[in-house]
Amino acid sequence: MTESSALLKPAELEPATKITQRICEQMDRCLLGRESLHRLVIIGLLSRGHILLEGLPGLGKTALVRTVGNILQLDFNRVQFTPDLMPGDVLGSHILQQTDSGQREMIFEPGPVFTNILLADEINRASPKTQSAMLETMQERSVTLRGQTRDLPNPFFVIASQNPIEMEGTYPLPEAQLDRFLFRVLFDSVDAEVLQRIITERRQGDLPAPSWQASRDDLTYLFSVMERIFLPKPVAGYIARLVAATHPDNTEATESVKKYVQYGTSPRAAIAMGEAARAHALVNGRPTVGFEDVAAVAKPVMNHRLILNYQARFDRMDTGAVLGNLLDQLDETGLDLPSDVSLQNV
Amino acid sequence: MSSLDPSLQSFVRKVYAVMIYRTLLKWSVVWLMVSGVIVLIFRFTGELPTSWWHWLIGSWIILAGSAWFRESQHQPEPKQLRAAFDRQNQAGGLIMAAAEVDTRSWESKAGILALPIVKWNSSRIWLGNLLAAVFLIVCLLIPVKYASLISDPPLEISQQVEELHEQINVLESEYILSNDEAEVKREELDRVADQASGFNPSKTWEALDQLLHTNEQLAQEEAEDALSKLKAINEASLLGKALEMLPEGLKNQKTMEEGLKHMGDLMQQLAKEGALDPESLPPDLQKAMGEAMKQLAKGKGPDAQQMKQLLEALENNQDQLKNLAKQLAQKGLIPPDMANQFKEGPGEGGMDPGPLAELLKQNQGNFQELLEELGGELGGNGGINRGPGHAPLLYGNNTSEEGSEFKEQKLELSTPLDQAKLVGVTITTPEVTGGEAILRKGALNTAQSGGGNALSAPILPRHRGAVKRFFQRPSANPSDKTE
Repeated sequence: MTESSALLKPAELEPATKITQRICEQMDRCLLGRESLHRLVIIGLLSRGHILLEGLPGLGKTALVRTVGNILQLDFNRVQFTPDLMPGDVLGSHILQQTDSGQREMIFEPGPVFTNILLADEINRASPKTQSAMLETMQERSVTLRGQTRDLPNPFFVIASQNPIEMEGTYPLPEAQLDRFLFRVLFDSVDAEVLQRIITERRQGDLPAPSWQASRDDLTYLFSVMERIFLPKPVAGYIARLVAATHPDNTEATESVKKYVQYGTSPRAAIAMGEAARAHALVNGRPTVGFEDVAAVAKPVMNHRLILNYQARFDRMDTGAVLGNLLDQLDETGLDLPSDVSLQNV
Repeated sequence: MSSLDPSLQSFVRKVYAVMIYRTLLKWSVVWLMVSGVIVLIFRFTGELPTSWWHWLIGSWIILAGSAWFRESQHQPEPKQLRAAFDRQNQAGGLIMAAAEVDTRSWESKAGILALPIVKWNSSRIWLGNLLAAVFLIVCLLIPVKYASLISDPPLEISQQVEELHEQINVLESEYILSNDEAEVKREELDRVADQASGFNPSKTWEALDQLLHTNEQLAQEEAEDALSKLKAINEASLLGKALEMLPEGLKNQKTMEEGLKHMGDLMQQLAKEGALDPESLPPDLQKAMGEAMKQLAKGKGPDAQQMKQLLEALENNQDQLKNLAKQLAQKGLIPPDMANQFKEGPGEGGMDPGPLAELLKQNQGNFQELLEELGGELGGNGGINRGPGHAPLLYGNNTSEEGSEFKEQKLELSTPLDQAKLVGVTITTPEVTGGEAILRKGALNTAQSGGGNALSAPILPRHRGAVKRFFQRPSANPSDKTE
């Protein structure tokens, strides 16, 4: 066995795990009552993926992004997407300026996208033209204007939000755009107990300053450790089977998939799930990815990539229910035991 | 080798053992049932071998080997079992990764791996085994006398088969059937007897009926043939006896010559038809009959000794034919009335040559006329089983018309009923239109509203006049009264 094929040593993994735990602790401290959401956001960031937050106004989406930026000491910009927002308003534009020598030349004025964390608030209110301008930035992490490509700061994350109720005057994100988001996270309301704490501890909703901040070196270290989280072949096989089973014509597709799914998820979903599972293992302090890591991230990864048919609308089925059924029925190991034989823990 | 491997191997062995055990128990249900059926077959068709339990144990060992072989061919892949072991121990992929990378630095943190329980819901299979074992025990202990309850119900046809065998024997012994034909019939009869089943008795009965029918047909054809021969022999014998009884003075006259000639013709015809069977006669009778035949062929009368021997030979043949009929009748191959016809002739209730000899004496030289007058019917001499003899049925005396009370009357021609046409149904006075039918359209053409009579009858054209007269009312005006 070669050195390169060795797993991370416990001594190598533990500092990274501690960093992620501290980040999560700080987020939990600043934003009350959303522990699992915070971990998903951290997993998304470690996976270098973009996150689509879906929830009603006033639930703390901006506060979440601001807190993440603050804890990670990353630049943060917020753009409120509106129907008249132009691509130049996001990407930046060239402005004719006079230089010191008296000559005039086009100077590039960077848009708000040139940051580490971009909050694209109510992204579905922007026109398709502006939404499309985000495609390159999200996938290539670069901006090309007038034939010149400019890299975005590293790391670069887009955390977008959209309102699931008010659909009038909106432009639903096309599938190509949706597929570029690693997660779609549903932003639910918090319970009454948390609300009481917010009211009593947060005057006017002010966020407390984090007591600890991660450095850039910490982030770099986290990303380097992420590269070495091991994905065993059976787990990779499970991810592949899971993604394939979202297609109605697949042999392992469940009845609900066959009945309600029009188009299954893309290979990009499988890649995203692998990365997200690695990040989940890292957050949980493990050097290898297990089935539970896949199960934890499968729904947020695939729920916006699955396209349901009209039958699903009639039967009031959503992607979460279809995926839940699929995760329940598809055996992770592929072990084809008879129906009357099962494995149980001691 | 990873320290995780021993636990993993134990788990793999455990899974394999459960799978083999499960397959063996599943197959055991079938094995027990099949063994029970085999035991039943042995017990009801013969005797159970003394070493039956050796076979039972031996077959179970083969079954166990087959189950092991089958499961070894269908083993789950090791990587799948490793993945299952990892999942059940919530090892987070460490056990799976151990197959690909060096995980020794993490194995101390993995703790003690527990062997997952391979749970098999075996209650149904155990129940099946229990029931199958009970079935086997019942098969071993059930009294053989109950075999008839579950086996093919027998059809008792032994008597019919025996009778048919006897019929075939008779037909064969009387040369009605050749040996080969008789053998074919016997084989067919045996086959029908073997295949006789109480589940479908009509099939067997039909086959037996068919065999009986063919036997009877053959026997009756033969009996009819024998009867015609017997009648000819009777006639020849009667004539011979009558000629023998003639007085010496008449023996050289024309009556005798014609009688001998007629007897010679009869004998020739009998010989030609094979009615005379010299082979069945004693040698001296054979010789005597040959001589007598030669004499008759020449138109000369045999001497007294020859005539006596000839008559004896004819009687012998009569006996043979009667014996044939008797045997066929005994076996039910010919109806009794046909068998009774063989009893007629000389002897009890048969023909008496005395009257014929008397007639010949009285009608000298007119032998042919005599025979025609007799019409081939010679009177009998009575007996306890027959009447006084045949009487000719003559229909020459027609009934006289005198005194008859019926007067001949020629009936008028009328339309036959099957050619009558229904022209309508009415409860009122029908309109008489002569011979032409009134064709009207509509089923309710003649219906009346309210108070209608449900019963209506068609009126044939020839009754219309009578009906019309019936419904005619006397007119209020006397002048309108018809005369």
